Amino acid sequence: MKTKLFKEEITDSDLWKSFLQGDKEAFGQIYRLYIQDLFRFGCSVIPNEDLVMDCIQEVFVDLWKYHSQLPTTERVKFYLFKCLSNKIHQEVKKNKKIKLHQEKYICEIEPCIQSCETELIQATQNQSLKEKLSKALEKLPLRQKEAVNCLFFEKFTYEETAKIMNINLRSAYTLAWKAISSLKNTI
Amino acid sequence: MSKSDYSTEDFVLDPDFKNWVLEGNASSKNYWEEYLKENPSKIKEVTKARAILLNLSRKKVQLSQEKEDFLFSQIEKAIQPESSKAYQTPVIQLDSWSTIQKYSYVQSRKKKVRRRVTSILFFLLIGMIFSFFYLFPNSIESPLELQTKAEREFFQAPPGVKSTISLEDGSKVFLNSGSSISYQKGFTDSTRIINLHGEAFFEVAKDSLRPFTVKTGSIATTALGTSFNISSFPNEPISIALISGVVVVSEENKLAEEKLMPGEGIQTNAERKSWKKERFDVEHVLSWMNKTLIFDAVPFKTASRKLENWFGVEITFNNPVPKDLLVSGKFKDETLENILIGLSYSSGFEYEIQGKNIQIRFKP
Repeated sequence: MKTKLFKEEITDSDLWKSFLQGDKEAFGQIYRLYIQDLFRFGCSVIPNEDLVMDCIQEVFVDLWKYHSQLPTTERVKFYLFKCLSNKIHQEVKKNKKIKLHQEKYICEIEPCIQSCETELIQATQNQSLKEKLSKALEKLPLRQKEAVNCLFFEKFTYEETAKIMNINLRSAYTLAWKAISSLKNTI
Repeated sequence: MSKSDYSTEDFVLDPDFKNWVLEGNASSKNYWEEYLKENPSKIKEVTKARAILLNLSRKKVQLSQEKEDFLFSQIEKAIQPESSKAYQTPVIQLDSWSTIQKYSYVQSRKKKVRRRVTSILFFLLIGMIFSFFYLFPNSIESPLELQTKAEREFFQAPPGVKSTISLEDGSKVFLNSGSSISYQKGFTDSTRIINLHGEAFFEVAKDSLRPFTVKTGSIATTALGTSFNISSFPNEPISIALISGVVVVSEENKLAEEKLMPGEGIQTNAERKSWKKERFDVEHVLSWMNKTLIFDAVPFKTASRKLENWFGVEITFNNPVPKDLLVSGKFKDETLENILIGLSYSSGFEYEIQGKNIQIRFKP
């Protein structure tokens, strides 16, 4: 287990390094590794699948175009999220009439904790509460939703969240506080 | 705020509390048990915060496999190098030479030319400064240039002559015929600004503290340590081509800005009001440094302007130039006579050379 974890960490920043040297294979692997995370995150920033896909495409095209000048990073996921967030906000600024698709019902939900470590936790998890919370999360203002997504689902620190959202630490905390406050009031 | 004043929200947002609830590690366990002993009134908030953390869920969003693959194929398509597509218009091949040869030529040329050019330049410079200030006292454009006239350096390659200039900072400028540059002697502490009229190739010496900026009208090209070519002749589009490194091209009022990568260039429209980014053919752009004249389906007027500059002659037309007449051809180190012979067949004209004057008459 431990060796596997170690190996994965190496692979991540190593992949990035080979990509910086122009390795197209590594570029493809980075795409496969993070595409779902990026797509999910993008949809939380702006609920418009087509726009998110366009932005992801542009981010990867730019990454390839400028690969020889990009910094090395240990936090590939953070870096990619930051790129996507920037790109989406640029697009939104350019075109204020972007349509937001609000899905009417939620078919499937995913909990913040993916695998339940202990039976105790499993026992205290409550399906109806989960549904309530996920519905409430959907109704939150976009920026609040983005903050919650970064902090609780993508497991970024406050500092990383603030950088991804392009705001200061204080504002990131305030957004999250407001979000949790309205979530609290729904249960 | 002390933790004894915590509300439900504060508990949820406390990373240590989150750790305790979701991971249950020993040190945070001790801390929060102690905390509850001291603040028993907080039990309601703690319970609620724990419920939120455990049950926080979101709508499942997923990109289907087909869409994931499709998106990647789009990305792959977009990053295909385009240079292979560029410039496939037929040119008359008089000889063959490769881009590699051109680069080695530039390298050897630099060394050979330096010594010769310094002496030529010295006389050229003196001649130029005299003739410039005598003949065109009003041609100095901006008031800024007037103020600093005494400290400014000015170099010109007259029509028919090309020259190489080594600047004080170690950068090199290859000036095409009929082109000139001017700059403040020794530059300043924070900038290296060059004004260019005509065409030149720049090899910029690295100096991260002083960006190297070439101004052509309202457009500025800024580099740190690179090589690039700029063509900016009066009444023609400006074109900028980057060979190595990175440059930023910006419009005077910062209305537009573009970062170029090697192999990318910028071409303005004829009025120089807008521009587009495009890939270019290195051999084509740098041909002038290799004594090679390339016409790639250009209007006849542009071709004749190039010939005038190249050979230092004046071309006059005895009848109007056919409007749609485009010229293609590639001439390496050819005499004017040979080029005119070549062009006269394809373009249908007769010519007469009288010293520095050339008369052209199109056949009806």
